[in-house]
Amino acid sequence: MMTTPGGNGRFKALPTAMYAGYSGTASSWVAKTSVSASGKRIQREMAELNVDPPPECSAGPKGDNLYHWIATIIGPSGTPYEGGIFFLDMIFPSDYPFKPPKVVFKTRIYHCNVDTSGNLSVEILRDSWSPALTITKVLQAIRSIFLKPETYNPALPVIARLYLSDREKHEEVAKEWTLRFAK
Amino acid sequence: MISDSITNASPTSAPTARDSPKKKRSNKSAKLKQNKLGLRREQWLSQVAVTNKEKSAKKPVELERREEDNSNGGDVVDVRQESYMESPSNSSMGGGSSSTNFSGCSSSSSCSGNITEEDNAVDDGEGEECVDDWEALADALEAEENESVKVEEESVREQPSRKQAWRPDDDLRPQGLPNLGKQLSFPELDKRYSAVSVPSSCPICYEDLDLTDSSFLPCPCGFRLCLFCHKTICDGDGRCPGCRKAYEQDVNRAESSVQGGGFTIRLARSSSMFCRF
Repeated sequence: MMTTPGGNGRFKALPTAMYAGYSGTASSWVAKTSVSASGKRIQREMAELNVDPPPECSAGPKGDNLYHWIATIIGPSGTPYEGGIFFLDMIFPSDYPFKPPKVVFKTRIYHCNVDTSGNLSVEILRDSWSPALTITKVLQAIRSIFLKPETYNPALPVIARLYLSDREKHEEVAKEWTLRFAK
Repeated sequence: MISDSITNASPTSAPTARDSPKKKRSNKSAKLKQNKLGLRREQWLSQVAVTNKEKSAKKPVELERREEDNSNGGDVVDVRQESYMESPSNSSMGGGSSSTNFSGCSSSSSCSGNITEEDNAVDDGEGEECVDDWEALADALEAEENESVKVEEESVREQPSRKQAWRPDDDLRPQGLPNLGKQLSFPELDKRYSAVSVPSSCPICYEDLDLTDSSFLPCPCGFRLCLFCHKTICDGDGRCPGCRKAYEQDVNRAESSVQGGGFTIRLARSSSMFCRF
């Protein structure tokens, strides 16, 4: 929660913007405008999500804070995560589209790209982030690593190694974790 | 017959506001127009014969015009036909007695008679319906008349060979001629730019792109964004959101060097400063 802009801010755009604007030490004017720009962008994305949600995903602000979202992804069928409901926290920085959102798994999952505290090691949420990416695309990307883990970029190399060497064992453990934590 | 027609026709001249089915009316007026146009054609044929006989071709036209002014929505065609028939004799008399033509009761009676006859033929004689029809008819006839007068005048002038180009607003301009306005926009050039569609709003901040923004193409991949977002990205890692390649700092300079000139080069330098800041 350290980087939540306007953590105590209301859903109203103005107080949030002012709070975050004054919290920025460099130049308050730039920070203020960038926050309102990110707010507008997030609101637009929320509207688009409501109109056209990605399959087996949902996302929305946690409370009245536009910069803190909760998302759910249903494990795709044909994978050991099938039938599990995985909760994620999404925290948007105040310069959001220019910096990626911080996505954390709140549901425990046996996956080589998710470390023990739920942090994701996905390329597009780090170096390959692009301001043109949206929340929808992020959710779709996360769903795609359920189908095919990024073993070349693991958060837990042990699991990646198991996935590459003994796939059956990996599936078995992952299915057990899904059954235990995600249902 | 005459008295009947007059009594029938007189209420028609009074403009009455009523809401009758429009479709019916328009149908009827269309039919009437058709009838009238047929009559007109015959009349013109006869007139052409007359003008061939007579050298003074303008006179019947003038007569006709005056007639139309005088006869208030009456059957113009019949009156005119009469005048055309009589026009040779008029001209031989010197044209002074032309007023007798249409002020005479024979012409007025024939016109009102025609109204009722045609009304009965087209519809089952709702006398009130006539007003709009006749007005519309008179308008149509007048329009056609002006046109045909023009045509006739041209034919009288033995079709002087046109040395001017057609003006685009010329009525007699052939439809097949290409429109010059279309040629001003170059389809090839437009095609090149429309291949990458210009979004109406910035895909990063969702603000509307203004004219400067929409003509701003910072990356060869074709990803467009507003100048503000471009500056923010240049302040950061400076990679294009579309292709994730680093923005070419010399893009502007390369573009302007094609145009040449000191001013544009100075411009490019300032804009690259703007990016590097």
